[in-house]
Formats: sequence, C-alpha cells, structure tokens
Amino acid sequence: MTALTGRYAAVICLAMAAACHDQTEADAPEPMSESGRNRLVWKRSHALEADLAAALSLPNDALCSELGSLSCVREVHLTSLGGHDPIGQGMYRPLAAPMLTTSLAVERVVTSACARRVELDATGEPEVFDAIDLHADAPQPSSDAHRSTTQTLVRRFLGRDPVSAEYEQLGALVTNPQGTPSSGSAYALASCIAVGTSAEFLFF
Amino acid sequence: MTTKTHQTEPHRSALGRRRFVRDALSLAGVGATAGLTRALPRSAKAASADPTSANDRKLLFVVCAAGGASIIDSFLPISADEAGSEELADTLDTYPSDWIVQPPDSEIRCVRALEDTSYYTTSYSMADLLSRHYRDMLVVTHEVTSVNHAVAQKRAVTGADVNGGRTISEAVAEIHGASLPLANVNMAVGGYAEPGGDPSLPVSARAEFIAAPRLFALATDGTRAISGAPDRARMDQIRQTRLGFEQAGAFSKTFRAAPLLEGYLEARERARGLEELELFDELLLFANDEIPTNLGLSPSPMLAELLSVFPRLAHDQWEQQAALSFLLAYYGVTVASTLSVQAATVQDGDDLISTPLAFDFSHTDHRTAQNVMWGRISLVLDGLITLLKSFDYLGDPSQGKMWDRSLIYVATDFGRDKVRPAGANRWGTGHDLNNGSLLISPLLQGNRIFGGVDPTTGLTHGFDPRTGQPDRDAQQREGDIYSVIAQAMGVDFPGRRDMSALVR
Repeated sequence: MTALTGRYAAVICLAMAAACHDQTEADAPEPMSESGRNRLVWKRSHALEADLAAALSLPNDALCSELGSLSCVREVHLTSLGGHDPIGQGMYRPLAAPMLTTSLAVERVVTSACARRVELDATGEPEVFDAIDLHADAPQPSSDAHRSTTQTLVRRFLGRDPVSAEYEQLGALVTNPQGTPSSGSAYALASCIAVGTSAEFLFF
Repeated sequence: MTTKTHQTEPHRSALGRRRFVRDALSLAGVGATAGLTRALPRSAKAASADPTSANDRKLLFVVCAAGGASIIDSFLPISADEAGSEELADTLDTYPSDWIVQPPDSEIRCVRALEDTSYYTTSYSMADLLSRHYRDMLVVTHEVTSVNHAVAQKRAVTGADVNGGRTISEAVAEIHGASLPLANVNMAVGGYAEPGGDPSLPVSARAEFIAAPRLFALATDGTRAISGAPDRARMDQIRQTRLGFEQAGAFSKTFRAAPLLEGYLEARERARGLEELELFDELLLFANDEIPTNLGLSPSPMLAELLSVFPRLAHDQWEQQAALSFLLAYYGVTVASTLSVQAATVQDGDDLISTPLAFDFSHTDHRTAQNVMWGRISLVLDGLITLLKSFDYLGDPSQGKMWDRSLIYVATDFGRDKVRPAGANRWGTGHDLNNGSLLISPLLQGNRIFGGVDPTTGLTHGFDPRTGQPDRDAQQREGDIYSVIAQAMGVDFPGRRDMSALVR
C-alpha cells in the first residue's frame, strides 16, 4: 500500500469506523514522518466543551462545575482553556498558547465529565462503557472487554481506531497503583481520563 | 466505585508536603533535621521551589492604573494659588489649596477625597495612603511616547522596549524566580496584559494570565474537589499511562517538533510542580459558608488578614487581585504580579465605587474619574503594603518582612489634558503625553519628588537621574522608569540607564 492510498484508506475508515476497525487495527502503522509544517491548532474552550460533550454523550452543562455551581469551561477555567471574556474580565484577546495551568484545567474538566459518565453508565443504561461490568473487577488487558472499551474511547475522543501499542498502554489501568485489581468503574474512569486528557484531544 | 477522592487522605497530603520541604532544604544545604522541618510554617513549602536564592529574592507588584491616571490629580497637585493669577488657575487643572493635604515631614502632597464625585463614591482617600506610607513613596515625573491606550500601556511595562521588549515583570521573574512554578502572574487588562516581545525569554519567566483571581486556587490541582476524581496515586498512574499512550500513537510522532505541542507538554510537566505545592486551600478566597461542605475544602488561612484590608474581597475583583498577588508572594510562588483596575463599573451596595472605563472616564468627568479611581488604587496600595509590612517572607522570621524586598510600581498609560474651561469643576479631558508615576518601596529613595511641575502650565519636567536635581530642560521617558525599577530590583541589562539618585 502506498502512502497515498494508505491515507485514503485511513480517511475512509474514519468515516466508516465501525465497519472497518478490524482492517485498521490489523494494519501496522506505517513509519511516520514528522510534519514539516508542524501547524497545530489549540482546541479552545468552546470547541473542547463541545467535543467532550459529544465524546461522552453528555449535555454541556453536565460536564464540570466548580464549587457546585460555577461552570468550569465558561467561567472558572475559561482563560486557561483558551477562551476569553472581553466584557466580564476585560480580556480582549485570547491567549496565543496554553499556559502552565492549562493542563490542570483540562484534567479537571475531563475528570469531572468522565466521572459523570461512569456514574451514569453504572446506574442506568450504559452509553459509553457498555462492554464492561462497572460493578465488577476491571477486565484483563487481553480481554475483548478491554479492547472494546479502549476502541470506544479512542474513537469517541480522537476519531480514529487505536493501534496495538495503545491497547497495551491503557491495559496498565486494569490494576491500581498498588498492583491489585482495579474495579471496573475505576478502570473506566482512568481510561477515560487518560484518553480525554491526551494532547491529541487538545490539539488538531 | 472504589476510587477515593484526594481530600479523604489528609495524611498523604501532609506527608507529601513535609517530604517536599525536607528535600528542598536538603537540596539547599540547610540542616534539615526533623525538628527544623517540623518547626517550619506551612508557607515554607514554597521555599522549596528556589531555596538557594530566597534570601536575595525581590518582589515586584505592578499596579496598573488603566486609562490614564494623572499625576497632577493625585500626588503632584497644583494649588490654585501657585498658578500666578486667578485667571490662569481657573483654566488650569489646579485645586483649591484646602483640597490638598500634606502630612508633616512629607515632601509629597496629594488631593484629598472630594465631596462631589457625581454618581460615584470615593471608597478610599489618597490622603490616608500618603499619611501611612509617604516615607517609601516617590513621585517620578516623565513624558511618555504614545497616547494610544494599548500602545502606551505596553510601553509602560516594557519601558518602550528598553530591555529588548521584556516587560519589567518578565525581567524580574527571570532573575528572581527562575525555578519558581509561577514566577510571574498577570491579572491585568489591555496592553498591561500583553506579553513582552523578547522571544529569548525563558519559559519560567513568562506570565501566567489569571482572569478570575478569586477562583485561581481551583486551577492549581488537576483533580482536587472534583466529585468522583481518582486519588493522587491513581492520578499519577493515569498520567504516566497517558504519556505512554501518547508516545504510542502517530500524533506525537508526527508533531514531535510542533512548538505548540512542545510548549504544552513542557508546561504540563511543570504544572506537576505547582500541584505538589498544594496551594489549593492556601489560595481559596472564599469564606466557609460559600464553600460546599462535601468538597473537603477550607478557606485560605490568611482570609481574616486579607479581609481586614480588602473588605470587598467577596465581590470586588480589584481587591481579589491584590489579595491573590500577596498570597502568591507570601507562599514563595511568585516574584512578579501585575494587577489592574477594570473597565467595568463596580458596585458596593448602593454605591458605584469605580467609574466606567476606569481612569478613562476622564473624557466625561475628569476630576471625578481621577479622584474616585486614585482612591481605588490607593486602597489596594495601602492594603498590600500593610500586609507586606506585617508578614515575614515565607512565614520565616529569618527572611525578614516581605516589604523589605518589595517594590510597587503604579503604572499608567499617560497623563491627561492640563487645561479646563474657566472655573469648571466638571469637564472632560483628552490624553496627554506629559505625566509622572508613583513608585513605593523601601528599596528606593522615598519621600521624594524627582522632577517637578510648572504651576503655570501643569506640565511636568524632569531631573538629573544621577543627582536627582530638578532639570526643567529634561524629560524622563518610559525607559527611565523601567531602569529605576530594574536597578532597584537588581536586574541588569545592556542599555539600562543609571538612575542611582533614586535607588537606595
């Protein structure tokens, strides 16, 4: 497969992700060449909020609030997440690049949203974590449940299928830091945070 | 769910903090015996960030009087009887002599709080600031180079690029805060919030922009007080896994050299250091009854002290900026803070305590805008100085009072027109290059006016920067003010002007 046709195949697969994930998964990633342009765009507050809400099938208002009532994205961490408020805060232009606290703000927002999603899936009809029992132990890294959960998260957040090494990496989260098995819900939450706070979700 | 929230494990937090301080002291070569470590106040954790230089560290506060704060309407006023004739006094921006106050022993005088300020309320009098702190106050006259707000604001903090485009805060942060997690914070607006133009500035000296100071504590930890969040150990594991996940995918390989990604990943690593300092509770500017009880949070232990000087802390962002800048300095996290009055009107009960567009409301009602807004500036200056004089740096008596190492620069855009319609008490003014600045610091030759004002024109003139003597033919510029601050703060750079007469 030439590089060009490979790219076309990838595009088609992204469009028909559910139908051709096996083919994509089977394809070993071609040696990647570095971008010559290196032009990335920061996914700023509103886009981040919209993509996060879509990824986790949550309404925007349910993603994250601080101190019980303040919107994480639109109020508390607006600036850190690349937004700006010329009227309320006298800030006329958004920041050119992320700040020190941006990653912490992203973690807060994504962690809150992931926790909410896990909670909803654990108590009702699961929408995201439907391949695992959230009330039981976490699945084994080699299990279909782990592969399905990883695939779901990567597709929902990043719009592509995971590669083999990514399945392996996220497999580490089936145990907790002490080396004992994690619960299904803790595994789901951890996987969701890891993928949702990855740089690939924040830049495009 | 088996995850535990961070706040359910206070022992972990305390242990981590003690270990952090102990390690830092050890690094610094200080005899970090267990007893010594226990005796250290909580705030000493911050010494860990850059312990070797804490003794010599200086603190800069850039207080931005946005919109054009006129020096002849504040700390260099012209008395009507000095103008030479009644006709001239009536058409110049002069004040009746009994509206001007001058404490005994003070070389500086100021306009008192006016009785008639239209719909607005002067919340604090310049006279109170002067009477309390005149020994450390300097008035330095100058003429700036732009009457465009954004341009002039930026030049006020870059010295019109006298130091390669670096803001004075960036320059101070580089020298005094090289390894601090948040050496330079900026809560200002407009040109005061712009980064400097020197691409060689170290990342650690770049300003962290803080738009909501009361809420800033919430940005210092990735999971604290988030319902259902993993505990710290689990979060560390997730972060480690995330790194492996990122490195496994094509994205990080393809964009390995993308500056935006590089910068983000570098900042993400440094953010861990900020989180380790556990500033969440220290910086939380909320009272107990404003914090949901289920989050395991508590207000800043300094809240009572802050409220004693910033009574509107709950609803006035100006006072919140000042409070946060003090806390960040006190905990040894920051060496340069920039704050500024906002364009929005601020209400305190039934009173309007800030004019719209801050000092630029002078276009509509010069005297009201200047008096109300200078009062507002003075309140924060007095509060800040009071705190800095009250507390030892890092909470450590051996470091001395914070004030001993502090400098406050009241930056502004430019001056205002010096003339008025004959006899008018309410008129509007345009922008004028001619003005002066207020500096307050024990590091400077206080209780002095450098330069002067011509009472027949309202225009200020300069001085000899080596002797301090007035010179009617001289004018200082933005670069001179920048150089004064740099010299006092021990910041050297090619082209720094010798301002020895002003520095102790």
